[in-house]
Amino acid sequence: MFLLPATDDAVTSVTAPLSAPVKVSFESAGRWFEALRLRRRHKHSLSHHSLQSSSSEESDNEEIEEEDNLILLQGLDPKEWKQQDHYAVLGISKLRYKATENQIKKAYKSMVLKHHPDKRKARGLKVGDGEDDYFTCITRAYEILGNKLKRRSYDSVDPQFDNDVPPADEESKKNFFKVFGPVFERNSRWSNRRTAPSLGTDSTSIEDVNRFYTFWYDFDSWREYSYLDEEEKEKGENREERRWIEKQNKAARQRLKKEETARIRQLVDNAYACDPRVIRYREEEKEKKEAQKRAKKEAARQKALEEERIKQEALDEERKKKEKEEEEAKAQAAIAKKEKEAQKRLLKKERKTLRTVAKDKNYFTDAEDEKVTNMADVDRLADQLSLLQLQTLNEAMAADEGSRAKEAFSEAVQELNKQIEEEKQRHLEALQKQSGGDNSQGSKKSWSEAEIQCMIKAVNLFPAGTKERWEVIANFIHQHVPTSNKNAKDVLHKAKELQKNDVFLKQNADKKAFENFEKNVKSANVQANPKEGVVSERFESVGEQQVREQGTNPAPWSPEEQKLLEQALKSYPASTADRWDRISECISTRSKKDCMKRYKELVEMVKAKKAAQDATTKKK
Amino acid sequence: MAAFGVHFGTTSACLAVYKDGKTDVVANDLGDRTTPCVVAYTDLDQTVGAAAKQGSIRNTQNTISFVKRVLGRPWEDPVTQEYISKSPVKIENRNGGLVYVVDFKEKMIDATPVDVATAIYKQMKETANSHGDGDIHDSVLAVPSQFSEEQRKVFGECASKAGFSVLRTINEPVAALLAYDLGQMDNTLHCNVLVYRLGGDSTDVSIVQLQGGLYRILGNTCTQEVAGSKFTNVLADFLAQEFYKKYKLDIKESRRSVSKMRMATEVCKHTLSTLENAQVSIDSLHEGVDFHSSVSRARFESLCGNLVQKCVALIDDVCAKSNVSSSDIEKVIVCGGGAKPPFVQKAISDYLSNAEVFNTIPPDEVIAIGAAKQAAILTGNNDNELLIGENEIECLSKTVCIKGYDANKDPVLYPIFQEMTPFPARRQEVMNLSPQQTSMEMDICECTDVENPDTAKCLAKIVMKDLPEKACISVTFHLRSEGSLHVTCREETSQIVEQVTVDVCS
Repeated sequence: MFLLPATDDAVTSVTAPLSAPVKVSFESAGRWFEALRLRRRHKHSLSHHSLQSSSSEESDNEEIEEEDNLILLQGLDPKEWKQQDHYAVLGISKLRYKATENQIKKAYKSMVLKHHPDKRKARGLKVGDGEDDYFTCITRAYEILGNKLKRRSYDSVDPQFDNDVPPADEESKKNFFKVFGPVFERNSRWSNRRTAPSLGTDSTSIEDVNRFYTFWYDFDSWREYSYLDEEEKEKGENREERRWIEKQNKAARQRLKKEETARIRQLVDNAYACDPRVIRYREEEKEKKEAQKRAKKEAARQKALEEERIKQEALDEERKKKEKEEEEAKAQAAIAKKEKEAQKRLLKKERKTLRTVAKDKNYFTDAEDEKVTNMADVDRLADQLSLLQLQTLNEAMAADEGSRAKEAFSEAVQELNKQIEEEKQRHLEALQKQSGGDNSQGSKKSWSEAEIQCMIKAVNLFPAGTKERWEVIANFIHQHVPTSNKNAKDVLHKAKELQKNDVFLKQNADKKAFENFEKNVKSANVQANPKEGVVSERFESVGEQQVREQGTNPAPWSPEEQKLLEQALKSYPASTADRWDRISECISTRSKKDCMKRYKELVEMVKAKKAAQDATTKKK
Repeated sequence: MAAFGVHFGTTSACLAVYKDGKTDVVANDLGDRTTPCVVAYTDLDQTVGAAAKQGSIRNTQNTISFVKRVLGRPWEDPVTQEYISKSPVKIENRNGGLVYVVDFKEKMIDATPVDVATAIYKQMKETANSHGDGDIHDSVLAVPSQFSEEQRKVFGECASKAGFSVLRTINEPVAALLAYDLGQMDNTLHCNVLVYRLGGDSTDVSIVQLQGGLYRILGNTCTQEVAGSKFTNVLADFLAQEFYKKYKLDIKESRRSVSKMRMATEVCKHTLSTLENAQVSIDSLHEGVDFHSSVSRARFESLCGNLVQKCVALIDDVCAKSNVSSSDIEKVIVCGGGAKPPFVQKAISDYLSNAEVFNTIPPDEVIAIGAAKQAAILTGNNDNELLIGENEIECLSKTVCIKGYDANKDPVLYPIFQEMTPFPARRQEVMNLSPQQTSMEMDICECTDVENPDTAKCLAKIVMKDLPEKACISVTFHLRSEGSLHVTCREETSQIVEQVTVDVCS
């Protein structure tokens, strides 16, 4: 096939796109399909696989450079094989530990071809006899390098390996990478792990640097020292000797291994101490920490300041607000005062006019009696009526003649009376309502008269301080009023209520109690045979009963009694005959003796109080 | 590590191993290279293979064969129904699937097709174990191309149950191609291959298109009218007639006599594949009468003439199905146990006279060996699992070629990428210009018919001028995975470079 020469005006160009592809389903078999599938799956390019395979082949095909080592070989002493450089003997001293097995084999073969005694004889060269010929060195070298284990032990003590460890001084700090780079590189060959991390450069990230040092701190070396064994185990004549040799060798190996580990350790320590990256990193960390500390402090200070400020502001605001309010209140108060005064003045005036009008009209009557009542009414009207009402009334009275004025006046009086009446009524209602509300609020259970009485008795009977007072009282009520369903709580509640509702209620209750007593006595009289099993009820208070029976009431004085006593003392002065009899009559629950005793106590208490007061005033 | 290929056929199974760079069939414990797919349940134990087949004369009711036909098929399937009607074993319907009811150790038990297939796979596994390479048996199964996903799945499950680690299931025709390494060494080969599998129970004929190292089944035809067993039947009928002529006794009266005759005929048939003459001698064939006869290959050939014609007719059938003319078929692979008789192979190769016939591998081992080779490709890969749609690859719809001129200055097309070349692809060509030529222009075209340069559609033109004399231009065609075509021309001595990118029509 030929291609035509280009015409003059022809240029490289694209004229049409490729037609759209079609999807075809292929059989999932064969290596081409597999290659295509994997490439597609891993999104590899077309050349990926071929590149990979070619790179693996490359290493094996390396050519070995021929080294001319004839002089070296001729100078060898076969008896000193242990000290010989086996790599140099095989002519691969440049490759050394990097030589592959194939390369060693190849080198050995070429050496054999060149230096075998038979070959040399054929070439007419001199050949040492038997063991003494240098060819034994070549075979010995291959014996060692060709065997994996033996080669490893030889490599371990490779005479060309530099065991040097750079010191951790200023010099190595300055040229860190130059000094330590090659050292780590050459030491990394002892690693059991294949890929030793590189020292990197100054810009290597701290993570990589850390990885590098962890690798070296946990360095796993294959270096071993069996090659240096002083005596060979096989040389021992008997078992004991062999064992002893073995032991010696082992100890020596261990010692050397320990030294090696220490050496590596030293190397890494030195490097770590000199590594500018590590130093930098440490400083950075330190700075970061300090910065953090500072930031924290700063933040705390800021916060405190801010809080102070807010507080101050709040205080200021409050103060301002208060001032403003006060001012407003003052102003309002002033206005209100003014208004009030004006109103007062007006009211006074109106009242005065009312009175003068009333006086002028001679209080609408001629009769002296009526005049007095009317005068009182006028006063009342003046006091009670509001400004507006007064004004209308005044107008009504002032404008018209006598009879009409009187009518207006009497009307106003009537209205006022009615109003007062209404007010009274309302007040009463409110009172009732309140008490009712209290009742329903305090205890949902209603208290019968008997129960209340019983309770009052019980309260007096069991003074404050009695053990479980309210339960005892409740029980007492139960005993005396079998239908009662009150518990301690109810009782407590009711007692408090009673206390609150002052003496009036109590007196009321007492009064009612007497009425009830009378009623009951009557009914008892009517009922000839009282029911059996009903416990006779007491209708006097416990105190009364005790006074009646024993002449004294041991219970402490209640405030009511105290009040009664004081009143009695006032109403019957010391000059009154039979003073104490009369006083005791006033207090039903106390005998004459009790009253006297109490009086004495009170006098003593007052005296003591006065003395104490005198003492304090004197002190001052 | 050894990789195994398993071919589980209707009548027999074959196991091949790839080891140390070689593929070979693993012989079973009897030394046979194939194992009959027959499972027999007896009073004592369950037997698989030749022993079960031999015992079938006396134990017909409990000997299960041809299990592959119903494996993974529902009860309603016509294939299943036909199988049931012919089976000597009692078959029942359980939850839409069929179950063999067999007498095992004096108890009636149910054996599902899966159980039977697993038993056969287990036998194969034992054979594989004898190869002694640990417990991991990475293997590839070969199944007929017309198998449904369900059937493939059931097959794989049976093999897994038996202890094989199934890497993939591939189609039988493709396995046959792999066995002969067609397209494996050289992925530039582009041809149509006819795979003629003449099995024991059925015949599969497929046409596989090979291109760029990838396979595509273009068409496939399958029939039970022609099969190894039909040949046996023909021969057995002939012998029965002979027996009747001799002794006036009809063996069809006794089922056992028929079985005996079939067994003997099968051996005879196998012998005729290698020898010219075969002896048949059956003691006490029917009513205590012994039978002895000899059959020549020519006789057998003449008896089977009809069948052979049918065989050849199938080729026409598949060609029509896959739109390929029989002259376009360049290679033929003959496989399957039934293709052993030389006259069958001859008939096929005669019919496709211009095609190369591959028959060096024993036909009944071809597919197993192909599967083993596939297993060898896959083993060691981490991600063998085939994702859905992963075998669908975008391909060129038209052939990409360059337009050149022949000696008479008539335009000719030189194909670079054939149509159906999967993306990505790369190809390098070296163009030699005539000695004094210092410039050139190259048209890159696409076309459907390489023979007809006028129909080609020009895609791009590359022009190079000021070239040195005796210019040698290397041209790299790179069909990228996104579909664009990148062409680079480089003159070797002067390093003049000219390149162009043709985008794909979106």
